[in-house]
Order: sequence, then C-alpha cells, then structure tokens
Amino acid sequence: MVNPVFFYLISLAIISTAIYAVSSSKLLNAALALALSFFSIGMLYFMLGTPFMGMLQFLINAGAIPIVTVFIIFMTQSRVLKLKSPATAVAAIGAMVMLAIGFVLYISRSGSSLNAQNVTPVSAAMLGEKLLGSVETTGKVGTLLAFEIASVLLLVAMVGAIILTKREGETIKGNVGVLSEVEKSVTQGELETPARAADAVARPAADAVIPETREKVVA
Amino acid sequence: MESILSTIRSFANNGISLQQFLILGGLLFLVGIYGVLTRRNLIAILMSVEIMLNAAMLNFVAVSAYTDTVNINGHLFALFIVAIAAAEVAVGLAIFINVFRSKGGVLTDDLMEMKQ
Repeated sequence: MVNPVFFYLISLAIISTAIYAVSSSKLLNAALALALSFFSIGMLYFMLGTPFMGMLQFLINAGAIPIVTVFIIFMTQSRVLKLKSPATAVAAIGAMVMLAIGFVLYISRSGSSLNAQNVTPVSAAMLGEKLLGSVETTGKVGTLLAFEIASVLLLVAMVGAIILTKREGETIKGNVGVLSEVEKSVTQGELETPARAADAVARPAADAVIPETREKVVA
Repeated sequence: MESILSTIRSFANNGISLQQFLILGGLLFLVGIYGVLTRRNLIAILMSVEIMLNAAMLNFVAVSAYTDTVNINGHLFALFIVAIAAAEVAVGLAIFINVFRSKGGVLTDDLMEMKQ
C-alpha cells in the first residue's frame, strides 16, 4: 500500500519542477529542474515496489540525460531564451484542457480495477528472467530478441552521435587505442587502421609528417 | 478537533489507488505537451519530450504494479522506453550541435527554409 502523505508530497515536487522546467527562460535552471523532477519520479518507483526501476531512473533519467543536456546547452550557448508569444501559450493551454477533459472522462468511466489498493512488488531477478530468458533456459517465452534489438539500437545511437558531432578532417587525440601518443586522422567519418608500435618508435613526432606520407606508411 | 484528527487519520490510513497514479501521469504528460507547443529552443523541446516519455513510463509501471498477481510486462515496457529515450537524447543532441554549427543557433526560427 502506498502512503498517501508521501505520495502527495512527491507528486507536488514532480509537477512543480516539471512546470518550472517547461516555463523557465533560463535553460540551465530548466535542465536541473528536469533532473529533480525525474529524481522524484524515481522515488515513486521505490514506493511502487520496483527498486530496480527506481535505481534505473536515478542513474539514467536523473543522472545521465540532464548532464548531457547541460553539456549541449553550454556548447550551443543558449542559456537564456525568449518565450513565445502569449497567443501560442493560450492555444497550448486550450489543447491541454481538452486533453485533460477527455482523460478525466476516461478515468471516471473505467471499471473498479482503478480502485485497487495493493501493490505487487517486482524484484530485479524476475525482471531479468523475463528479459533474458528463452524457452530453452527458463521454460517461458522471454523478450530476448527485443533486448538484443534495443542493445543494437543503443550501439548505433552511440556511434551515430560520435560521427554526427565530428567535424570533417578532425583528429582524435589522447588515449585512443593502444598507442596514446600516435595521432590518427579521421577522414570521411572513418578511422584509419591503428598504427603499429614500430611506426611510433620510428616517428616520435607525428605532427611533423605531412598527412599523405603518413597514410602511406600506415597502409 | 476530534473530527479533524479522525479525518487526517483516515486519510493517512487509506492507501493510494491506481487512479491517483494515472492522474499524476496524465498531468505530467500535459505539462510536457505544453512545453513542446510553447518552447522555441530545440533543446527545451527535447526536454519536454523527455517529460512526456517519463509520464508514459510512470503509467506503465503503476498499472503493472497494481495487479494482484505478479505482472512485469509494464516494467519491461518502461525498460525499453528508458533505452529508447537514451538513444533519442544522444542522437538528438548530436543533431542540435550540427544545427548550431551550420545555422548559428538552435531556435526553431533558424530552421525555416521550407517556409520562405
């Protein structure tokens, strides 16, 4: 059973920080309010008996996504922004009121299952069995294929983000690959093959070599 | 005085039903829609979309948790929503960096070539 006092306190925090996040003219404050809102939603997951989802919410939605958003706010130099005209806000509020009326009608006409009071807790082990199990291993049908597709999607998104943000002809410097001191140039979004250790010893100053000869040596 | 105390006591002893969670999720979704419709900055629009995704996640988990038997289908949906939201944020923000480089800003007014 969910405690009503804590539920209403947390709901107040969620709604108020979300409203601040969509209406503040300071974009950095809005991103941090968004993080606070998602953190409060994570608390609700703990109250719903799924600590795994709560931790996931803390780590990803309240941790990683606002940090990336703050990075991009700094990189695009859009910390303070103008708001749209009042006519747009009035139209948006009108659309919201219509949706809210429909939602309340739907809630009020639904069956008595909405009045259930008991929460069934779900452990991370049960989630993992359902997520990764198959007929061969656990005897039940799992969602292994969807899990693999989601992981491939994340990989593609990661590589795509790197390639999209990379400028033409930019080089990767630092601890990339085995030889951190060797510069590898990036052309057309493709990395060259890693240089061998002998090349690094023979050419300590990679900057001095003009790119055409370097590519020949590496190839 | 006694009646107020008993009211408070009954309020605290009664649990929260599924209806309250659905109303909270609906309110959060409406806040997200308001942000998408009124914001001009692309990053702010993406943040509003994040709010809407989280409202949907909250509804999935609440409906799944309020069943009498163990039901984890809603939790699985929420997990996939988390994965897709992360991918969307990564690719979307990379696109915004490219928009900033080519247009000099990330406002929706900067992307109006089709209108002219």
